[in-house]
Amino acid sequence: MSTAVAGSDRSWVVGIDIGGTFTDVVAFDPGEGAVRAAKAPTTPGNLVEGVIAAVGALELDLEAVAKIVHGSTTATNALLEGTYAPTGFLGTRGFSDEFDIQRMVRRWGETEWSSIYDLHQEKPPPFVPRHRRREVDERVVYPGTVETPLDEEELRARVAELVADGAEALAVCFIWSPANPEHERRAKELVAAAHPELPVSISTEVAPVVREYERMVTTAVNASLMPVMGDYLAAVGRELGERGFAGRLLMMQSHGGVAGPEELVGRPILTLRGGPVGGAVAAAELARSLGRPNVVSFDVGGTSCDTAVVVDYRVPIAEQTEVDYHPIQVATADLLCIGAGGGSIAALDAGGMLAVGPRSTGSTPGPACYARGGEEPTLTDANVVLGRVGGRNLSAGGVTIEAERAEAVIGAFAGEIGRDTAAAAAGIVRVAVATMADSIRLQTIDRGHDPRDFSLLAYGGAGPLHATLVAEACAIPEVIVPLAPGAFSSLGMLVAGQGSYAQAAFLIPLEETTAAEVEGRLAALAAEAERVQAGAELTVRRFAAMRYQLQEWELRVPLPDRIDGEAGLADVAARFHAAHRERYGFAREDQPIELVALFAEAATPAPRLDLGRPEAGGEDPAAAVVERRPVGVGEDGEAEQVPVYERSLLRAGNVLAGPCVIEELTATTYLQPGWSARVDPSGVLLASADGAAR
Amino acid sequence: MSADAEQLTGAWAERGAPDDYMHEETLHCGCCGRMIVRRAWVVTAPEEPGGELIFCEPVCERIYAEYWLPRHGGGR
Amino acid sequence: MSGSDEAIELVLLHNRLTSICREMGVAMMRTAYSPVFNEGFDFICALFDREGEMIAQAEYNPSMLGAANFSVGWMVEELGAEAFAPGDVWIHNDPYRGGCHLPEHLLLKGIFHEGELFGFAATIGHVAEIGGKAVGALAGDVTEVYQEGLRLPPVRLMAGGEHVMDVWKIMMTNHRTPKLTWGDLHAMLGSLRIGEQRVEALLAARGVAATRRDVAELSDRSERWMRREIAAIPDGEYAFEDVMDDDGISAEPRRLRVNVAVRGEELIADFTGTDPQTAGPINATFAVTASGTYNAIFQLTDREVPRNAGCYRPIRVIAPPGTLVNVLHPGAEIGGNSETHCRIVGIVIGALAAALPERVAAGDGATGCNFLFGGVHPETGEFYANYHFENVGWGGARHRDGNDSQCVPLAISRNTPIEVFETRYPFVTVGFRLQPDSGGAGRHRGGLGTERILEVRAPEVTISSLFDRTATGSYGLEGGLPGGCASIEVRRRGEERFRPFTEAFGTVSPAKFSNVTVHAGDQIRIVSSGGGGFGDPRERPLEEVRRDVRDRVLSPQRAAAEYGVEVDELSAGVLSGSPD
Ligand SMILES: [Zn+2]
Repeated sequence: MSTAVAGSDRSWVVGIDIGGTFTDVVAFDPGEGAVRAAKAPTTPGNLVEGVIAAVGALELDLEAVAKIVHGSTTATNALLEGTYAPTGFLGTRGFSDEFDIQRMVRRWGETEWSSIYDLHQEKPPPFVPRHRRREVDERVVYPGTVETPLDEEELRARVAELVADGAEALAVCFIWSPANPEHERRAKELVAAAHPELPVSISTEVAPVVREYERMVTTAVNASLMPVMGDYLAAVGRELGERGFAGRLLMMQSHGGVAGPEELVGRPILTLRGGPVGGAVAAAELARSLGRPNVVSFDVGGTSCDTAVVVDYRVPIAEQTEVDYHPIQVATADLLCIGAGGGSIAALDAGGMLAVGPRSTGSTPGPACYARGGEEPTLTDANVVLGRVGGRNLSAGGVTIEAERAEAVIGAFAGEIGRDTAAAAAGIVRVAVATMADSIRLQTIDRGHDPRDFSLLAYGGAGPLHATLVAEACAIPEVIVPLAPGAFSSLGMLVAGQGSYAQAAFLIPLEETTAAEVEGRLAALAAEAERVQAGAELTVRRFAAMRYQLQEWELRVPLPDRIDGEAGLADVAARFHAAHRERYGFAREDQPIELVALFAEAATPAPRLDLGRPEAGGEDPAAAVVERRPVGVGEDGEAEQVPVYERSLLRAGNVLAGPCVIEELTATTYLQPGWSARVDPSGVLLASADGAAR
Repeated sequence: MSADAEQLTGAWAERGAPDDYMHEETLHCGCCGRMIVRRAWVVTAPEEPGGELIFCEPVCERIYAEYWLPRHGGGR
Repeated sequence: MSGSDEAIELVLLHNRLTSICREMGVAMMRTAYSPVFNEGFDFICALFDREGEMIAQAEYNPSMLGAANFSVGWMVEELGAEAFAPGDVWIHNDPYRGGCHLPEHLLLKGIFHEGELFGFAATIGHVAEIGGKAVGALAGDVTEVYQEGLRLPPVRLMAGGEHVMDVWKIMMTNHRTPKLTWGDLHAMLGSLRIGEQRVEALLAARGVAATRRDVAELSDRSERWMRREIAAIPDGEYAFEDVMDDDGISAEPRRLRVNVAVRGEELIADFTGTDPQTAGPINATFAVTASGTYNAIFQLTDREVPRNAGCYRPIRVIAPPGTLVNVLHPGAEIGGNSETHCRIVGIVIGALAAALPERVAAGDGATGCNFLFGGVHPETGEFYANYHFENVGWGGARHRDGNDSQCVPLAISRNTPIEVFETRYPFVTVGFRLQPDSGGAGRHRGGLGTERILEVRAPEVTISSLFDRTATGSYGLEGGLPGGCASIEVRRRGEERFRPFTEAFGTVSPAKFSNVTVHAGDQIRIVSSGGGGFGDPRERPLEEVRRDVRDRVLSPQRAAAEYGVEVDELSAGVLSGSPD
């Protein structure tokens, strides 16, 4: 990593990833190929502080930065913690009870599987409670005709009631607004005039899709996030600006693309999964460079364990996601997040069983060994007691490890459960590993993927520490540890944050439109997508969502670069038939096709991040040994003297036999007995059981 | 309630004729009432009309003896 | 194989087979034409061995899942395994051959490995329009199966991969909306092909012999698990009964009765004592009665028991032929699978309330509120037909209130979005709301039903209806009161109020009728039933009664009459309007 450069030449790209415990930043200079990383504790309640501290720790002149790509958990945290704004809802007379009625019936049991026979499943409460909902006279009917004009007087009165009742944001969703958004637009104007400070979200600006329930919930969730996201974006923009940043600030969206603050102020919901998605996309890129089509992206930080199953080098994207069963009509990477990380607290549950997480110390006070006031035993403390985590690895976050404190809290907990300290520590790790493995099984075995066909790509501060244990527990034969695993997610922001997307509904039978019309609409969308990434060299890809007439569900199909005349449209139809045949086993060439929506994606090629390849060496890694220390490697934490390697001293071709520990600036890798690892020429560690590297 | 096969006296025999499309009468298990397709579990019972009891499967012979007769008495 | 390796192999196989069924379902849902498929999930996808024993299923429509054991088994036994050749697809919808009711079409395709039959991919789908007396099949006043629609015995729909056009032509000619039938059947065929391909790949990877052995082991494990579950229910005989409104032909109520005998690790649900088969269409087939019983038992036992042939074996059903629970040919049966099915689930759960008071709940709304309509669409000039249903309130239980507006237990259907509904049919929805006061009062109240008002926008629309629970509410338990009743009413254009169809159109039954013509501007009001309450309403905490009144799901009058909470007590925290 290079020293500070001051540059009037604005070339650096910075990625920021806010985790539950640390905020990681990575900076990359595409010209020089230089990379630098830094971290600071995450500051819940005011995330901007941690962001600024981490950026400061880069020691980089912000004037030299062209672009900052930022993955934030602001939206998710607000929903999980219930700190979103009390939100009023205004809808068409007769329909606001759909919040209670909902659509997805009887699937609220422990699993989808069990729900069809679950007499006691609890229907989720409405996202907007009844007393915060109001209805007005207005009605548009299909295909867009106004049947009842908007009662503007009533609207003003109802909104005033909601505001008086404490609503701090307002969602408006009228029946059939996708076919005619006029009433919603007018409502927005009227509310803005009467309550200029009140954030208002109208459904046609958030999720212009037919199906009123999904649209109204998406709009309500979006509105509820507007105040918190507005505050956050304003603060981050201001703080960065004050420090000289004049480039482009972009935020990750749930599907791995980026958008700017001007768009996200009104549509914060697009960032819902924008935190963890960066790592998953980076994992898919790394998997491609290693020729491993199937990997489980395994990101363990201080608070959570995020997993994504990459199949054929792709992070699966869903058109819809959910928050507590509330449908969110936004394209989203398919990720699973559980509360298990280094800061997860070990405790005995009501039944006297050892549980680790989901409660976490977060960054403040953090694990006891951070010596910042933490007094509860955490997973990190257990790893410190076992000697798997030493004193060197977390210093970049401004944290030093005090092993005695870990010994003290784990020792006390051991007393509670009647074991010795090492056995208690080993037990905590085993329980956490089982929880993480369960999460991976849900995404592999339960979906019919054989874990034996996968590699576990481990990153985050605590991922590589548990990777061989988790892999063994879920029968995954190989573990991949990238260089700088602690910064991998933020690196992902650089890799992933290259795309931006624009979409618009366009519901018409294919035979009733023309190539020129479709091209015109696509061009407008492409311009919109390109605007987000202004100035960059972009590749535009176009897609259309299509279906057979009378079908309800559409299929997204890539379009050619140019659609010309009748033949061009015929080619589009042929692509749809082919995609339909591939996906569903049949095509209906005799049936008319309907266009539903058009999409454009503008992307710059992902930069190749070279973190410095190791020099070539022999198999023997002895030169990288920095110490030998006792490490608890047995079932009950029985210790052995094991070698500790410094990662930067390893050479390509080195073969490391477990048990051993590999330390580097941002993370520690623990290789359990029976596993060995080889240093790939690219620098990644490839570990497998019984020394049988693939 | 055991599924002791030794106590059963029936045997499989072809009774139903599902593809006789001229006749729509259906044959039902003497215990559970389920329709019989082709194969029936037939128990010789001289006291019954027709001299036999027809069941859908061996389990129904057992349930007929252990549950149905004590509760409802007599044939259907 | 070590013990844990075997456990991994088996769980992997089970999950792989289940996920194949899910993939089949997704393909079907995404490609079908009828809302009953693509929004209503009124279908199933399952895999069977060559004897017709179920080896895996995905979590779709529970009524069809239970009945598939009978209809697939029937087809395999009637035809014989040798009848199936690669590329053949057999179809049948015969309720007297193990089906649930006439609209449900079973498509069965053999899966072969190296020329030898391994088993079957099966889908069952509710085809929305099958001809017959009235559009949408669920006419409330038919008296024999011949009026209900086109009945197909097992015949080949595809032979060697080619359409058997003779059969297709018969179907297309007899169904009112042949385009939808064509699209939906092709969605089912696509789904079968996916199941076939995935299982073929699985067999190629892990071998036929090992897979046969392992699926048998999976079934045996499920059976053992279910036996342990039943063994944990206290032995005894538990009886329960309930009445249905009428059969659509005459106005008398009909009685359903069950005796549930729990004996060790076996359970017998004996429906002897149930009223004889009716003239009207509320008769259930044996498969419906068995499926409803399985459903009830599955709700009361460990829900993680893997669902294959094994888990059904310890549950025995006795359903006397010629009664409401085991219809004989040619008795009308179209409503047996919606209305009577709900009641079968309800009385088995009700019976076991004495044995499992912590696990049961009071009765759910127990009617599909089936509302059928069709005609020539004024804009497209084409015939349309729709099968519309409603969700109901569910019963309160020992530790919780019942859920509002939730699909009846025999299905997992989603309500069709209003914006999808209005694209397809000439109605405008005037309102869709929770129905206040419809939850049965109790310490834990029943869930609410809904009210939907539709206004006709075509010169005329022909409607039919098949509801129950319009005369008696769903049962409460332990002192809880019954839930609110369902209803269907009409307000003719220019009239002041909604009136029952008996009054406005002179139908015999208030909610079971067919082929009534309504006109532009007329409004139909459908109210679905609420769930029964659990426990004494007077023990409900005042705060919860106040909250219900504040949220306008409970009227002050009912609060006083049923919960003993007077208006002055309510006003303390409620009528002042403080939120939350
Ligand atoms: Zn039988």
